Amino acid sequence: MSDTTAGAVFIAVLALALAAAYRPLGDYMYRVVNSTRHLRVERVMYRLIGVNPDGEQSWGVYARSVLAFSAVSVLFLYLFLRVQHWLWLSLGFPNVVPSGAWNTAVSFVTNTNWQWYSGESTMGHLVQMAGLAVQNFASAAVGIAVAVALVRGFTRGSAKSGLRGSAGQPGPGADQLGNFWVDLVRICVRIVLPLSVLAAVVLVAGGAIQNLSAGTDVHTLAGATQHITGGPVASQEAIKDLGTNGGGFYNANSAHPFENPTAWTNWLEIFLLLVISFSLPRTFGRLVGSNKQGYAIVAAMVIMAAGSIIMINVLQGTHPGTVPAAVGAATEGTESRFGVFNSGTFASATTLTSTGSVDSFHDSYTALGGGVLLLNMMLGEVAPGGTGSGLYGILILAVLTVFVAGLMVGRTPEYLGKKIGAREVKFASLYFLTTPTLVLAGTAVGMATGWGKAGILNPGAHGLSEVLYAFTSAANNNGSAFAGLTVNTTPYNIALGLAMLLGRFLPMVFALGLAGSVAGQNPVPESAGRCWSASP
Amino acid sequence: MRLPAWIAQHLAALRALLVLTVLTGVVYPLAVTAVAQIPGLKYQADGSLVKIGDSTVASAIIGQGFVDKDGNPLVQYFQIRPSDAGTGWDPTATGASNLGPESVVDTLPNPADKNKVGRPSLLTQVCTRSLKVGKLEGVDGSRPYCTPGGAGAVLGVFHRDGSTGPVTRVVSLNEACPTTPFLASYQGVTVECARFGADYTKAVATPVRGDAPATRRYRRTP
Repeated sequence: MSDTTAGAVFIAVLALALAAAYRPLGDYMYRVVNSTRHLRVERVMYRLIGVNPDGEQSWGVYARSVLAFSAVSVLFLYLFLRVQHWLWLSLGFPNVVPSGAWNTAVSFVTNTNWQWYSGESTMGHLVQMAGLAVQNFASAAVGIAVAVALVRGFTRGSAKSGLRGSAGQPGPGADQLGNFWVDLVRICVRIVLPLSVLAAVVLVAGGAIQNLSAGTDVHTLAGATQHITGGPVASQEAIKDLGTNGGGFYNANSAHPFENPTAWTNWLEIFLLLVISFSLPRTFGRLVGSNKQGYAIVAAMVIMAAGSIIMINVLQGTHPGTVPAAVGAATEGTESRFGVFNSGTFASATTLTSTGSVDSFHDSYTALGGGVLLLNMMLGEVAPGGTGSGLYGILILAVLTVFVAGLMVGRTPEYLGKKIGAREVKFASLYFLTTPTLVLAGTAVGMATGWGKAGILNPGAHGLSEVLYAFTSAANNNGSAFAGLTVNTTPYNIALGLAMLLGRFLPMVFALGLAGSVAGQNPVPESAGRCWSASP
Repeated sequence: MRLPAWIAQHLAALRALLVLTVLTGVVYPLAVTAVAQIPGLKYQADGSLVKIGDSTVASAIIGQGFVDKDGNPLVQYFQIRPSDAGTGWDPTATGASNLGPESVVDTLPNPADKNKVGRPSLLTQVCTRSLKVGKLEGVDGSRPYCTPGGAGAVLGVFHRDGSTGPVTRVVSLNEACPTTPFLASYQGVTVECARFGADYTKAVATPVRGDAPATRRYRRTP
């Protein structure tokens, strides 16, 4: 089998597996977020948290809960990193410096997982598993929770009219979006945790390590000494991909044999990082009571993603550029056990989903190949995007689309039975203006200052791309890097931390604001004049 | 006493975080570690360690260098691909070169300082390695865009009007003096060797293809 055929089969099998997971996983997630029953362990957790699981929240309360949880998380993780040296399993690593701890705390809480550090020489085992990996779970769950809250805004009618939600759930009070604490706990306990356990065990079978050892010194055959590292890697690897987080246990991330040992684990990791985001449109369809709406959303995602995956494979395969011509292939930065094509597919998937884990190094990609990765992120992470954040992103894109389409054909813009008026469009526009503003402003500052330019590795235009990539990745909460850029400096850590924080929470608040706005409306009765959003 | 709502909310947040930390940060990784102790998983979970007698010599899935102290290949072993982890195959400093497809101009070594080795471009690294492997295996190690000496074949071309106009001066950027440049003249202008510290930023870096056969992905020796 030629390389090209193998690469194509790899993608085809991946697409089939994702299609097969769409209905069962999407339906399952629907039942989880829509259930009225609490598991016993969840009841215990609610008691420990001190919340009433049957209370509902308006958009403001929901948003404040999200922000409170995230603020406490940043603070907690920051302190954890600052004192790691004195805790167990620190491996003797020093406490993380203040600017680095700030950057990493924000990075993991915002689901970005941008890493200025090398995991194997900075983070002890305890902070990896009880600090960083916890946020891998929590930030993924927060994303899904906000997406579900946005959808509830569309399904729930106004209490004043006594209308029930269009999906027929027992209509809660006016403009209530559910309960953040319940969503957070349920999504962790019933969705991400069980899937992670499964994935982690499978990864161990493939060769990923899972121990608490400080490492083993081996004497190599050539007479040198090599320190083989240890750590709870597989458990972290599973949620790193599944939760579209991307923060590697090691600096080499998924290119490291202990994180991603072989060709089939590479396939599995790509599957994991796509599966929740591609199945959520099904959950959305079920929530709004029309699977066709789900298909419309997933079709839009698939078209964008397929275009990107094809482009990256063609560009990496034809490998324009001086060094690739000398080598005969665009192999620099790739692992030979994965090959150029499967590395390209991973790179595309990781930038399309806001994951940011890498099994090859994007800075060494062909010029246009690297450009495709930038484009993937600049789409705003909606094809299919991060867990939850991809869904709320594309729904807001849909709101803008029906608004523009409605204006063009002279019909009242409405989506899922709710009118899209000035207030809704303001929220949607603010949502989409946030990240481009952060990217442009950040890059401008980076290129205008000494500290910004000092970090550049590659000369010329490629150097600009390194800075642009860094801010694009941070503001869109992706976390992958054109890793040539030296970002382990105080100004970069602060600036990129700000880009991540604002790039995550401003859009989130706007999304919840939009949800609150449409939740307060009475559904518009269906009429012949309406724009139908589920078919061409 | 009833706490103000915003304080109560942050307290709930803190308690939620602690509960999740116990569940996903302690119970989960330890449970997976426990499962990984069963036969069939334990070997991998411990790092696929390879033993000869009592001493551990390797992890089966981590590369190591088969070179002597000076970095020369030990010919009795199969030579594996180059490593960018630390000074080579160092699991405590994993990473990549991060050099781009147009990384073609070297930072030359300072001739006055033996410790400063300069910073070869990706192109020069490729050319040097290829030549070395060719010599070791007795095959042709020449490549497009490489000089016969194993540097990147890149000319710095000065034009009268910046990037246009007639050529006024040509320097072989990756060949430090006193190396004889791989090309005697370019568009009628004699090619100079490169001097350390000279400013070539105004020159247009121009890779020269040369006549080495195009590299196929899996090249068989004739």
